[in-house]
Amino acid sequence: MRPVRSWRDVLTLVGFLTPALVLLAGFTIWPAVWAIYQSFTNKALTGFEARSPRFVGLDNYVQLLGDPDFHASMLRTFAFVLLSAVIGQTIFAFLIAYLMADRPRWRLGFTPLFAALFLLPLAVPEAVAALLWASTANGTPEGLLNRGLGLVGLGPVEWLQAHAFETVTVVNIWRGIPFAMVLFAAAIESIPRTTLEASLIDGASAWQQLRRVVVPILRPQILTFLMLTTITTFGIFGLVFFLTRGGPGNVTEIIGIYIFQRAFQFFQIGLGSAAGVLLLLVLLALGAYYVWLMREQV
Amino acid sequence: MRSSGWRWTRSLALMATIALLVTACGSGGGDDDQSSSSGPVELTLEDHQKPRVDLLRKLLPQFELAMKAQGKQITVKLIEGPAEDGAFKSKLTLDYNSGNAPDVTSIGAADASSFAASGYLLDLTDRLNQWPDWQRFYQRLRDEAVQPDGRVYYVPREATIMQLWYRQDILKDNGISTEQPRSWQELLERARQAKQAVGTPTILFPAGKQWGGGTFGEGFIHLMLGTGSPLYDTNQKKWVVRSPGLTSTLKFYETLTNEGLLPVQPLLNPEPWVQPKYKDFPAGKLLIETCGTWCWSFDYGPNGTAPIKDITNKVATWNFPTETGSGEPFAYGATGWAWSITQKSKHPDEAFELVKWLASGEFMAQNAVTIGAAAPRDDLGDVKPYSDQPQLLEAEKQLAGARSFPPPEGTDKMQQVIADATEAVISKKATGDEAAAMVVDQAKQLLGPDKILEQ
Repeated sequence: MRPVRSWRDVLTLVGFLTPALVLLAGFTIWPAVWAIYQSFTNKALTGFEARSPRFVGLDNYVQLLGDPDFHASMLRTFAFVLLSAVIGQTIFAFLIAYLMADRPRWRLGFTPLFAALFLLPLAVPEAVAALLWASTANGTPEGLLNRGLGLVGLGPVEWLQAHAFETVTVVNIWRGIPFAMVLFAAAIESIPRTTLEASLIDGASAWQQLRRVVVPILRPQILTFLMLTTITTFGIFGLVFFLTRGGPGNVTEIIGIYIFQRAFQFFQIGLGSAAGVLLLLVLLALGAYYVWLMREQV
Repeated sequence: MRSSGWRWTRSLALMATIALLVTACGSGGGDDDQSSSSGPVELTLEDHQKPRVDLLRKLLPQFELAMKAQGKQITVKLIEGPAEDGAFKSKLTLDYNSGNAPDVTSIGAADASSFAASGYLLDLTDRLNQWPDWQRFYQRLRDEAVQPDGRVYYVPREATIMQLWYRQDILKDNGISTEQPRSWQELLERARQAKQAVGTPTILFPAGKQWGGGTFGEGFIHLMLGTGSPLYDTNQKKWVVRSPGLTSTLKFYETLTNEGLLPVQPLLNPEPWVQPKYKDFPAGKLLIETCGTWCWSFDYGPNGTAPIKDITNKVATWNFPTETGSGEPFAYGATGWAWSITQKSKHPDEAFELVKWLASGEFMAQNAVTIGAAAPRDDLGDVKPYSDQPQLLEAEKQLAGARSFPPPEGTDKMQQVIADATEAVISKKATGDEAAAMVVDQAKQLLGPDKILEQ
């Protein structure tokens, strides 16, 4: 790479970076800074606090840390991320990608067809996906899942009432698999064929090859995906909100819905901002942990 | 080859040209600075729900023609908000807060106090006092429109009369009395008998968080008003968050839940009204519910969400009984939706002309019929098509003796408190007594200790 030597180089550099920096500053950094500021006020969208908000110090944080609903929502979100993103999406997507990859002594037929099928959820907008699942998981005998159960003499099941958390977890796994699969497929294809052949010559079984060769080589990609999916899943809102609105009761009130309700249904912007800041801190900690894991050499 | 200096000069010239164009467009592209009625004015008007919006779309040209006849060039741009009340309120609130609210909006009267306290609404007091028609609005609705600061910020669009609706056909078929219940105990007895007859939860008082503000306005308040305990002390301007009546009300929900009289599961779902109101009541599984005049057309009318054929023979209404039966059963009567003008409107005079037109004559009559509401003023009884609606005319008569709860500042927060408390009761996480204690704690947190009282 050529080093920066002249004012012209500097101007070129600034010229290319400025649009991205302006967008980043305007749409990411400034809102985050503003939210942090709001979190120390009693800003509301209605009432006297809307007219003249005041500085309240750490009151919002104290209120949140003493709010059982906030604790429950955070715990629920951790469970949701763990089950749907870390375990569900990662494992299923990896297995699908591994099965479809062209490897020594293994070739699956109709791979493009399968790939297209598995990629379909990626092409569906979030709101449409939620409506589709609302219909599929409809609790009446006419719901698609219940029709399936009916064929074997079971059901009907009130999926979004009796098993709401499990259902939204499955829906999020379904929704996240395509992206993960594409990422893992590209990573698996990048492993030198000779490496895999060598492991087979050394007598490795398929399981040993996967565990001792493929996974260690793909560790950076797996960790990168885990970091991305953890962050995006913590921030999920639309998919769950359209399906259950956090109900029944609080069963699916993940942190995104909790923040939305405080900020835009109860109009407590200060409190909602504080919850957002706490979420940001959690994500920063998790992100730092993943980065630390990635620094370890295979 | 041209020098780099030439390129810089050219770039500067281009930027200056763009800046000039932007400035020119900014100053000439709109009529933001026009505040007089001398030139053409475009007002913006926001409403929600298709029947209301369709009616506006149909009749607004008449307003524009009427203004033209007066030599005013006023056009109205209609904006359709989200259909669901809660989503519509959220959008309005964000629009108000960001300074982008339309000139005229339809607001729930229950939200008027918080919007007014936020400084979002234009003070209409002086304009209304100079409008002779204002005296034709029912006195109690005019009184209730006066906010804690003594000013008026909205004009009633409709009067809502809420009562208990019951399936008289099924109750009679099963030998259950359809006489007016006078106490909660009598009402519970009817619900128990009904449950025995049809085998399903039979009475609906909205409860829980999913119903939003309706939990307070369509359920809780009708019980609370029957207890004799105040919920708001108008002298001290404080919420009464602990009282025998409030505890009794939460215990009533507990009884309904424990005896399986209330359809709890649907109440915990998104759109909790769909199953009980639009499926179970028309199907004759739910036999008693709280409902307003709008149910005659909006919900169960021939073009409603869940039509009930021959509704006048199948459905009848009771007034709300009081807790002990010592007082007279009552209907709930108050302004439902209202018209308001945003504080930041550039055309307040023209906007007020529009509000006057919306709150008068043919439009108000058609609006009342379209949404199934009683007229909030006393001179619409002869105006078609309202004059052809006996149920609505009858409901209007009830307005004089009805009870209501003029929503003070903080109502939106109290709605949240009650939603949480009732949800805790119906999901059996708290008893009525425990929920009453929750109300105190949460109200203290949300409203502030200086805005609450305990009795």
